[in-house]
Amino acid sequence: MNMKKRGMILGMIFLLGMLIPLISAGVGISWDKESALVPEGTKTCLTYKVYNPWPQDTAVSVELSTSLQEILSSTEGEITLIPKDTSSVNAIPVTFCFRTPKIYEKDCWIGNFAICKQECNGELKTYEGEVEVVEASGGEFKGAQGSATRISVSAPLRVRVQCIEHKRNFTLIYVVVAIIALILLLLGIFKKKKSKSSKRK
Amino acid sequence: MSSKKIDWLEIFLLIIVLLCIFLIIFQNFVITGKVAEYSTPSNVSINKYLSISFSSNLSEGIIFGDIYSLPAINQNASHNYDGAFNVSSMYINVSSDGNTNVDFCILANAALTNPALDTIGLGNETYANSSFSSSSAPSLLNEIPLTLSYVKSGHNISGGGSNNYRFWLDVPIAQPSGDYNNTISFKGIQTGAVC
Repeated sequence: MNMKKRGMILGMIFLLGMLIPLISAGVGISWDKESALVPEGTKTCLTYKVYNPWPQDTAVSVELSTSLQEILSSTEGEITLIPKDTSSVNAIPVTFCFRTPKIYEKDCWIGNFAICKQECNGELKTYEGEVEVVEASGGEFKGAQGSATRISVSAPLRVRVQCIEHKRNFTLIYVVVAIIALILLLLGIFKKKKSKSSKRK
Repeated sequence: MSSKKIDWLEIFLLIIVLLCIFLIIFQNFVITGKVAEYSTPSNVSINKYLSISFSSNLSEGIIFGDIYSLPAINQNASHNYDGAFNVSSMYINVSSDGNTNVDFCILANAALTNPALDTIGLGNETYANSSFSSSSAPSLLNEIPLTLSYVKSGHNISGGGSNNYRFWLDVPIAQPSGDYNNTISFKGIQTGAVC
């Protein structure tokens, strides 16, 4: 009987061991956009959501794949703590921002900045990559010989940089002409006043 | 008479100034090219979500232990067979709180390297994966060398499922002694996406 009891207890312990999930903290990502059309030279922020439906707290960071890093300007909340049992419904938003570079060549009369026009004949430049949510505590190795492990989840992202077509901008010429005309006008008025005052004397 | 001439010149200059101001406004606020192309971000509004988690043994790292005899061929990682019924205790779970099946990708950041920068070739560290686990799966017969870029190491695992791993290491006879380390990354992506 004692042996039977002992056997039952051992069996229960074994079953319990099988049932208890031997799970460490995990990472989860929720996204609702895989592409963005952004005018060149503008800053854009995208929000992804991270969650952790697992039974341990976790800390995550959001990273961009190499192809997208060249347009990355800033991220907010580099490491985010996600409490255990955070379901996808209660996912925590994480924002990162990027500035699209000026990639389409302008046709300018002066340098690369004045009296310019922009024609958009070529294909739109597209940056393809992924937004990766990485468990921040990963990569620490506890043994002597072997490999540390790192876990992440990712969502694809395609950023298309929009070319903004515009006609030649003559603003600089108008400004210069206006200033010259204004100076001449003021000089004329000044001379007129001066001659009037000298006549009075 | 001369005063009248100067007046005409002033009026002319004033008209030029006003015309320039008008043109500046007109150029920058009225003629703006294809205005409709501004501020029209376009995106897909389909919500997807997935979550994965290491088993506790896999989160601690892939340990090959101490090797006393060289060459070592297919040295088992410590957790290759230490689960119940000799299954691997190194696996990644896919949460049922997700709406997309998951593919897995794996890479090593470098070959196993010791502090003196001796390396065990990347091809010597191998793995096999399987969506089910038994004493014979994942199998050594399906071993694949690790690579420096992500490759698929698991396909279409649905919520509640897991991707199981075993790792092996070959150490050549002339390998200098020491502790060799690297980092292996596992990434979960939506099924069908590129690593």
